[in-house]
Amino acid sequence: MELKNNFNVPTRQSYVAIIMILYRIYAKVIKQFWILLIPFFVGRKGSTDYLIYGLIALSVILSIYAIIDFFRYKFHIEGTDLVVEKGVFSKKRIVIPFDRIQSINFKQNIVHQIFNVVGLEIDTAGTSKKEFDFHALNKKTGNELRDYIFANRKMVQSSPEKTNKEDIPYRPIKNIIRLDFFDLVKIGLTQNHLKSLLLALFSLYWLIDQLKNIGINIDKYTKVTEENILNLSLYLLVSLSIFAIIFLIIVSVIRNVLRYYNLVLNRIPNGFKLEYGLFNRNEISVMDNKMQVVKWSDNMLRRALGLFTLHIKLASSVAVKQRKSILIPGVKRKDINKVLSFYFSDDTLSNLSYFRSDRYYVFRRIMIIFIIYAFSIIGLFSFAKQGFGMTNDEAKEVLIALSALLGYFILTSILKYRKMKFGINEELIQIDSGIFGNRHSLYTIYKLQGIEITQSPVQIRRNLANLIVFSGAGNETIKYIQKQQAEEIRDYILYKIETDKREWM
Amino acid sequence: MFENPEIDISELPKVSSDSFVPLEKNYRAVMLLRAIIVSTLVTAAFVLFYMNKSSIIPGYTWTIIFIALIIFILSNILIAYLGFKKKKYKLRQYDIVYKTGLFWRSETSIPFVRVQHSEVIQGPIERLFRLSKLKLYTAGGHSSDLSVPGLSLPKAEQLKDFITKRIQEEEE
Repeated sequence: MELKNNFNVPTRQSYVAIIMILYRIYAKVIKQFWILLIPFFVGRKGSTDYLIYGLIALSVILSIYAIIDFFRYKFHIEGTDLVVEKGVFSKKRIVIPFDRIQSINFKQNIVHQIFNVVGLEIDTAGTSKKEFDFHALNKKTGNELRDYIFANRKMVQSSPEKTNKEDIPYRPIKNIIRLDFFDLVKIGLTQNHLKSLLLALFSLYWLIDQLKNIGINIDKYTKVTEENILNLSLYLLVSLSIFAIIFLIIVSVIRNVLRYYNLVLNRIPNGFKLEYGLFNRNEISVMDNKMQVVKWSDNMLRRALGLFTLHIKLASSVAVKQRKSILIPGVKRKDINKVLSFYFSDDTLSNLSYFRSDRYYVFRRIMIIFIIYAFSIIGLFSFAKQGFGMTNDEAKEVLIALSALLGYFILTSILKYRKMKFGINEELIQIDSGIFGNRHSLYTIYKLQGIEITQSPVQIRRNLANLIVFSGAGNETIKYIQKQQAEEIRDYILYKIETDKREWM
Repeated sequence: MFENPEIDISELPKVSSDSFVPLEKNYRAVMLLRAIIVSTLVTAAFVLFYMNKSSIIPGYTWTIIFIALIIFILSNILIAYLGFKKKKYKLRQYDIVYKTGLFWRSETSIPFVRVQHSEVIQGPIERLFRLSKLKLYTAGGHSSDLSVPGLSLPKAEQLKDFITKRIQEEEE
């Protein structure tokens, strides 16, 4: 590829960077010293004059600082190193070999978009924080810089035995996944609103209760007879909840549309590139070898539409708090298969043999639920009158609520057990779980970090065990399988990790 | 070229339960001392609470609480005493396995190729008994880090050097 810019000469960022630097500094200063602004709003006239002068002086100083920062910040390329020189008071020179660059991500907030520039985040391996950001670069320059770096680094995969994929050639494919406006509306509508609904109901119930306690009886304002009071407060509760839930749904739809607007997943050499967002446009590229686990999940509403949330989790250095990952809501199963086909051959994906957890898991869970239930009832009836000061009717209400909870927990235990299973072959472990929805996690065995077998006293008696797999992007437990099977899988996973020479990160 | 020959699962090297190495005998004293310190602190907290006369808890409840406290302390010490024997490790050519737990057992295996770095740590109580702890960090985060306590300092250093050497060999 012929590049117009070969980045030999130290170059500055786009002038828009000054705005970004200023914004960052102001945000930081306001966060630290916002308390100083309070006198402005509460102070008497005239008493805040000195503060105004101070603030003007401060903003002038900060602006000068931002401008100096901008003019001192230069970057260029030396061989296969990216060199950045920066620093307002003391000059810093940062040299980053291309090989150490894990990913280069573009970010565009509204200002970036107006001026057609991009912010760049350069992620390197082994450091706890990003070494540096570019506040603003011309979009073209940014693209050229990224392409140049990725084209010229000695790929880890250069030697054939270290190839991450199973001989799948590079296919430049655009729009592997694409979400349009209506997709995003659908996704927003099918979010787990049940949780929000319950929360809204409970908080309303609590609110009305509190209002009653402090002497404001909502029912008083509705002028009805005694018999209707209960009905009416229920009516009020329900209508307010419906209103709240409609509001929550609208907010969630709008948020989804803004956040994931025009989402596109493209194939790039050795990786994927994800773009999304309206006001804040993000562009994330991830290399295939960094993938640690692929997860996809649905809920009851989304299952009706056949939609999943796809999550590709990446390995990151130990201290990185916010793990970089690819998250796409509202993906069809066939699109997930398309993404998976870049990582694994169809053969590998299709020949998983599935196993279930031992039935004792669900027996034990239900037993524990019953024991807790029994103790609560004993507690309720021994302390209802003296301890809690309840009338018989109130105690009865609590009993009904407890029994409903008992039923709910038994139901969820059974549903949970029915979804619990795992599939395994030479390459992969897939762990499935969920209660009302479904969750699937697919781990590449040789990329795992370690493995643990645990046994509780009851498991020891029944020769069962839990198997915990540690990956570079979180752990997962396979519960209640035969101890012998757990040991066999452990021995195989260790063998695979220790003999497979492919790069895991 | 990367090869992937078929393998027989029964032929795989097993992490069998024998030939695990116990920790240094002194470590039992460390565990006991820790249990005693915890028990003392908990007892002190309850005694302080008891002496505060304004407490609303009736007298017979206190009897129950103190019986429970004694059971807690005794079992704490007993678990420390018996639990020591259950803590064992095994070093193999490509990985390390650590076993622990009296009632709730666990067995963690970490291959050396996945160890990011390792360190030898000595806490104040351990220093008293001239013991140290080997800690292996992986990329999996907190829960997948492996600690082997109750090693003599030279032994811990020796293990650390062995593992570091194995990692370097793997990388070549």
